[in-house]
Amino acid sequence: MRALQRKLLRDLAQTWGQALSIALVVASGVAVLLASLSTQDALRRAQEGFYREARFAQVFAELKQAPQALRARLETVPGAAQVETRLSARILLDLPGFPEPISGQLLSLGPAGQPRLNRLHLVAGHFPEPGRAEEVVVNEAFAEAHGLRPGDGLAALINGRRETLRIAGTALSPEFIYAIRPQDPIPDNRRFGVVWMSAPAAAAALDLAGSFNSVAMTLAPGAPERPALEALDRILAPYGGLGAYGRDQQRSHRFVSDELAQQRVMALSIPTIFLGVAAFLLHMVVARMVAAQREIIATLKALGYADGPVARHYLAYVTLVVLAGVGLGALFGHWLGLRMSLLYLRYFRFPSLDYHLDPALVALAALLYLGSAALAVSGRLRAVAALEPAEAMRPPAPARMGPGRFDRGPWMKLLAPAGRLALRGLLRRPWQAALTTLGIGFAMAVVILGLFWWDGVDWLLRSQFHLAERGDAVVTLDRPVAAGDLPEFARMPGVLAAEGQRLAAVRLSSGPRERLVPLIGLPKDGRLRRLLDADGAPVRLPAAGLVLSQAVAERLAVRPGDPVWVEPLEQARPPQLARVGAVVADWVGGGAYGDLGEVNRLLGEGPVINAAALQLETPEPRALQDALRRLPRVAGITFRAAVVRGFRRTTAEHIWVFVSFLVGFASVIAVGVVYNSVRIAFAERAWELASLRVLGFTRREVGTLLFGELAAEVLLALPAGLVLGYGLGALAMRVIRTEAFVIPFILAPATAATAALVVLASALASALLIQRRIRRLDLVAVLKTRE
Amino acid sequence: MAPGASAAVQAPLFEARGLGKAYPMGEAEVWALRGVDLALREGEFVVLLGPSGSGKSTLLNILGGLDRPSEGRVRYKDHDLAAADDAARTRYRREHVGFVFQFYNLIPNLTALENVALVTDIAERPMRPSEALDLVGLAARRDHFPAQLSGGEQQRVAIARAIAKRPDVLLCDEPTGALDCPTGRLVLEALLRVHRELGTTVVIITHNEAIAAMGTRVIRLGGGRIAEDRPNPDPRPPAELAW
Repeated sequence: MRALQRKLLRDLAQTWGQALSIALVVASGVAVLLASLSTQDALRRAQEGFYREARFAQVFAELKQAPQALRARLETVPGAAQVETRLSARILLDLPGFPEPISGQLLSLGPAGQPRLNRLHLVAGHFPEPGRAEEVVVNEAFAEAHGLRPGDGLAALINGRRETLRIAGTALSPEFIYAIRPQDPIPDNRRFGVVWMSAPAAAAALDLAGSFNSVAMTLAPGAPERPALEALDRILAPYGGLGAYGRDQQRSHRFVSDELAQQRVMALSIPTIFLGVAAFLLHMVVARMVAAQREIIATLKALGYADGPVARHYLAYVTLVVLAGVGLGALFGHWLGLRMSLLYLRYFRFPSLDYHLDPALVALAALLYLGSAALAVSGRLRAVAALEPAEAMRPPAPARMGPGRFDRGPWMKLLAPAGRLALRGLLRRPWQAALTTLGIGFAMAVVILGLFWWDGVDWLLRSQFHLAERGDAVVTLDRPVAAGDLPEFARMPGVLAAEGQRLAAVRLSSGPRERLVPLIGLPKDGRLRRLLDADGAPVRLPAAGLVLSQAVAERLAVRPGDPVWVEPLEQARPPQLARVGAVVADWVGGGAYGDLGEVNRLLGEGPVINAAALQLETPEPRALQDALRRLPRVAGITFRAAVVRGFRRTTAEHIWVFVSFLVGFASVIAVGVVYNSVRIAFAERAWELASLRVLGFTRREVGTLLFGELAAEVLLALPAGLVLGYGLGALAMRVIRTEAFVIPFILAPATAATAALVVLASALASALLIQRRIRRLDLVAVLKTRE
Repeated sequence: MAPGASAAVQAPLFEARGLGKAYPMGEAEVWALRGVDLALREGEFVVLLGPSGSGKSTLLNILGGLDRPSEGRVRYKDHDLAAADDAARTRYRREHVGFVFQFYNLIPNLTALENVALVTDIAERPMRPSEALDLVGLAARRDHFPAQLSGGEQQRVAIARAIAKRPDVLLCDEPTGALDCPTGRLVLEALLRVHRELGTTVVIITHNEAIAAMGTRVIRLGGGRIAEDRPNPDPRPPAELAW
């Protein structure tokens, strides 16, 4: 090994603490980058593989009822490749031991069991045997949530009749990778199940023999979607077509795609912060090293080393630190990605998930970090190259030090001597201090990025389920009933009050833009369901006209006062003109709201309702559950308490993993920045500090001088971190919000305080590490070296 | 000595004409060296005397290719040092010059042997690092780090490092400046031994008058100009020097 290489290794060994802390920052960034990208890649491949294997449809349509003979016409839809007609219905499931009725989705299978499109992946058991009408396949997530196995019984309320079913198999479906009940923000596998039944059994149960009410279709490669959708709508219109839609509006597909997009944001945003911090730390350490080794550099040049090799020697230090970080990051990222993928598998039901770390990605991460590190130290390397070798022959010049204008200000007199020294130290190198402050601030921002989701979810739950939906339960009916039937609900056991609602699927359009949205009619002076704006203030329903969610209004490009066409999808009825009365920036929903009477008018019907919000004596009264279970028209019941519980549990599982890692990463940044700054400040001033010790200063006093600067930087970093965290959080929320679901950006004081505590604790830990060095400060040796 | 060396004795190793060097000092310029004409021949042991500020370090830096003159010409054999760019001067230092610094300038985290290897790594036909340490009498201390060596030992390591590449000329900047007299003598012995055994041309700059006695030629600088240039027909061995 060459002497210069030996020097490099010894330089590394002597600065191992700093090198390690920087390598860990690099490792954190690389880990998040690799984990996010690999997870995203694994999910994408799993999604594509499952879609291909299962022949996932590209176009979907629901309708009231059409004869099987219509199928031939569906095959003439432009671009149609394969057409599947089937039966679909919302049902209620009933499991002994589970108090509530469970929402279910019934779908018919193909003639030979397996459907032609949206094929199932059997996990256990088998398809229903011919002639055994009671046999069904259920989705695995639901079976798992209730511990159901093939052979188990299952009661269902289908078409107003109670049926006893037997589970023949459990399966995964490309339509229910993310199995979520309509209107729910997140899946609840205990309260939503999918049941596949043989075609004849389904036809018999739904009284729809010889008919279909659901269409799935694949398109020929390259065939555009829009003509197919339009043709489908035309063909199905006379049969109560509810509007054809593409994959982009298929619930499961949309959720999975949104999540993939979020992974991409994560892969791009967080590692960028680490990239910046690592670059900054490397700059700081290399700058210090080059300054301290000025004479060594000059000597090497005097000895005949050219500028290039000398500069490369310092670049090699950076390269080794970064590569060590990339190596560690690759290992950790692989593990993290695997963990994240497994976590996703609990929500996204894929038959297989092939997770692996692509070596090309590791190489890309290495290039990215090496490049930015090289860029960060390039200024110092140029200084190395520019250093005159004659410097080696000269004695070192004393450090330039003179009082600045600020230094002489009257405020100096207000400070204790230690404070004065600390302030002077900061002013002597304002850029360094600013960057250190910024680095620590970023650490705090990363903690905030990890924690603030809670605040958003909290706010969401509060605004949605306490302020907007103040009822304790919502009962939905499978068909509209007269508004006069409402008192029937109010008389049910445990019910204090009931308010009728009208929910309908409509197509809103304005010019060329259109959107399939839920239209919700609410009573004029209703108390149980209110509309709120983003600040939680109630919005009054206009007597005429609709209130649109901001997301919907944006996509339709309409503003209050603009006309929109409302096309009811359940009834064959021409589009009606309505006016946009107001736009609300609500968080959940993405729908249109109107006065109940106005909605009835737009739908061309008398005063009817098909849902009721209930106010209850107790959150989930057993008697009401039993009563509803016996009511034939009920399509589902949602208890607020159960939804909130489920929401909290799911987000808790989901968010905690990310939170804990982000907090860990933030600590790495904070320790990295603080430790390096103090370590460098210590090295620069060891001589001065030792001199003070010789003059009789105690260790504590010397420590105060050293840590005074750090304390000032950390204290300045807290507000900076708050601002950075706020900005990054708001940005992240903007990027990842979806049409159906927006987590508001809320930063609670407790979150800011927690983030500040993490940073303070990291700073304290770094200070303690350096404190040990002060104790070991060799007074005689330090005074001898001329640094 | 190599055949043909006697011919080279006639042609000067270094030749300077009208050499000057100015440093900017705020608005004004300060001339550290002005109008220096000088010819150094191969095989000489030159002692350059002068108080601090006399321009001797500047002259040494220019001869060693560390610095460029502001005016005048300076050549080493057929190398034009005044016109040479950075890369050419680096090559010149690497191939021809050995430096000994006043403060030794050893790399603190390399051992004595490794400090010497630093030079042999990039030289064309160097001696083995241990051989060089042997020449300065430090074979036994080869694995010690600079902090574990005395000042005199450190300077001898620096000499070993300078001679290991078999340089044509050894330029020494106050090599005994930081040493006491007995230790300084040891260092000067090492330099003399290298001069005798390897035939290396040696230039020592010092403000220490006593050292002048061991040179074959003594040049005195003052105020940036050559004040005296005389041969010393009877150089004394370092053992006889005292200061």
